[in-house]
Amino acid sequence: MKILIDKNTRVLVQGITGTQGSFHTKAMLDFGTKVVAGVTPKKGGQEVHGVPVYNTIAEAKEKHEIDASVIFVPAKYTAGALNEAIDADIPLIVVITEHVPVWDAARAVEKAKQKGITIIGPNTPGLVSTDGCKIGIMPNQIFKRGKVGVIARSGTLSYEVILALTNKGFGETTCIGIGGDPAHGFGFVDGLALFEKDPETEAIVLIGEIGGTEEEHAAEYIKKSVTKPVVAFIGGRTAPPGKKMGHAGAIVSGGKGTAASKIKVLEEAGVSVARLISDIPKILKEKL
Amino acid sequence: MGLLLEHEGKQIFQKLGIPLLPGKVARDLSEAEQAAKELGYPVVVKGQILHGGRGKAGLIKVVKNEDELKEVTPTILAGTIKNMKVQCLLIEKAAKIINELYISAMFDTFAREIIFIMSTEGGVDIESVAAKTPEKVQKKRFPIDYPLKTEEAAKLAEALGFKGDELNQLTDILMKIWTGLHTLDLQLIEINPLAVLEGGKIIALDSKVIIDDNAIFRHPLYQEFMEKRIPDDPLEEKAKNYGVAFVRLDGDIGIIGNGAGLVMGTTDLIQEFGGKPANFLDVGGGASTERVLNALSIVKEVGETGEPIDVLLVNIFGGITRCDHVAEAVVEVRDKLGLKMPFVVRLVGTKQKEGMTILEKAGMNAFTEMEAAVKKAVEIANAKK
Repeated sequence: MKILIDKNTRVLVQGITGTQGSFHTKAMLDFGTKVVAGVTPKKGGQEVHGVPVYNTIAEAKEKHEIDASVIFVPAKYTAGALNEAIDADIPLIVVITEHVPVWDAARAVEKAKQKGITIIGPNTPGLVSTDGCKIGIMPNQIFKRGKVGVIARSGTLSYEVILALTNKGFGETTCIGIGGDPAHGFGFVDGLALFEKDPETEAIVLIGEIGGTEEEHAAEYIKKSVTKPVVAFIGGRTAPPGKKMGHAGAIVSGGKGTAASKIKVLEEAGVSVARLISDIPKILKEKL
Repeated sequence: MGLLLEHEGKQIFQKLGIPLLPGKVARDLSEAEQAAKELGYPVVVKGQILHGGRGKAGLIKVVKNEDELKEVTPTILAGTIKNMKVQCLLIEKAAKIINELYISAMFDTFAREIIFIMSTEGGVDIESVAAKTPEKVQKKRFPIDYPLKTEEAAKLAEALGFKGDELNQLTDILMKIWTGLHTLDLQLIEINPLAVLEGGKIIALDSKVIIDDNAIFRHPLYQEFMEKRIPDDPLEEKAKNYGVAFVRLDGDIGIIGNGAGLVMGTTDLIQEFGGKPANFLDVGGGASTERVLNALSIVKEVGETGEPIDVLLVNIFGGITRCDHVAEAVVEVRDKLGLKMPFVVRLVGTKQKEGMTILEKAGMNAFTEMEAAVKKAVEIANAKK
């Protein structure tokens, strides 16, 4: 594996017979992903775009080696699907589903962590290795093999950035969406660590947004452990302040979480923060 | 995040066994009179609204008799804070308060921990207490699903200076808060103030509870709460029913786009270039003609009920969505709704060329670059000033 996935990664699709599952299975196959099996309870025995469907992951594992699973099941069944994948010891689980209850997500992430399993998401567009593997729903046509690693909270904002990198000739190594939900598995710091180690990645683009403190943690990590150039973009700089978690939220965050706070700590860590997406390739050109 | 009204939060407290003053919900004056009569005067009339600062806004009043009740009730019922409406009243028996504390437990979803925050300086301005005298605010973190023992909760109560029976009462309340967060899909329980009454009984005088919106499907009680709510902005309610994410802003550039991040990036860019967005609207992935129609009708109403819209910006990044389909929908919808303002459309992705041709034929400004499109929209809007 290069970063998390590569062209040899064997992928299982949970919820493969649904509209989303089936549509994106086709798109993943078109991209070159080795989708080896699908699971939908009570739909075993069918085929979706030539991919065999099983009732359970255990049945699928009898016939196939599986390196990663991608979950397309509705939010209320996601906890069950996640548990099944964790219990089956699938090392990488990508959860596309949005609106997953936050307690379900947090408990699954905690359980996975104890078993050394990586969860990406929930509410993630997934990830792409330009080596020839896409797991998730990112648009196929925006990628080009190159030298920039991309890690983002927002899916659609990252597509915009990736397209700009591709059009300006940089290309990408791996693009990872960590998901827009407050409780998620794989985070900015995990991604930064992998990009720092990856010999093909020459620079990193980090796309954050307002709320939470993940960008602040990323800044701290970059200061300490990242030697490659990092360019950041923060979405929601002009968004009106959202609902907060009572007084408790204000007491705990102590002023963190705003765009200004994130930009400040990132710049202090030596990161160039772009104001426009079109500035990102310009900054990269100077740094590389 | 699903913030609950005080009385809704207190229904959850009741379920958990957290002590309260006797109280009743009233939706009009006659219900308020009935409630006060059953509870016995004096009572406190508390406007139920999804906003803090109710006391300062005059939405909480103590009344000694029916005349006073009749005087304050209509004013409180008609009360608003920052565009939010009083939804109903909570009538509570008045009580003598000896001491007020602040207690909360919050689910830190990023760290997957519960944070207890407590202070003997209860009352209105806990945030400035925390900022100026942090030593007066105790914080303690526990991992989620940690097997919290009564002795550990008692230690927290002890640290606040409690002893004897009051210590036991507070410990019990802390344990119930812990259980509530873990079993009822809650993200926050805040009690400010938690009151020590004359005689030593400890009760929750107020409640601030945040439920997880994504878990409402498995809690009939929360569904009931939501059904009874009076929408603060009918347009936001309409958008919710259409299944599109919408927020009203106060500018003159209407926006629709696909993807929350992309729309957020679009509103940023508008302001970066000196314009003002009228709204945030995410139509979601794979938008159908109907979706686009509904979205545009919402933006049309934004202009009719607020500041007029000078230009409409459509920003589509077609991944799974085909640009020619979106272009056809936009043209059809503009004609159907009779939208007169100029349109700026940005399309990129699948079938981009075909989409651009359709738009240009219909006399719309068509772009493939987001920044160029936003610049054009701001230019049109500012030229009208």
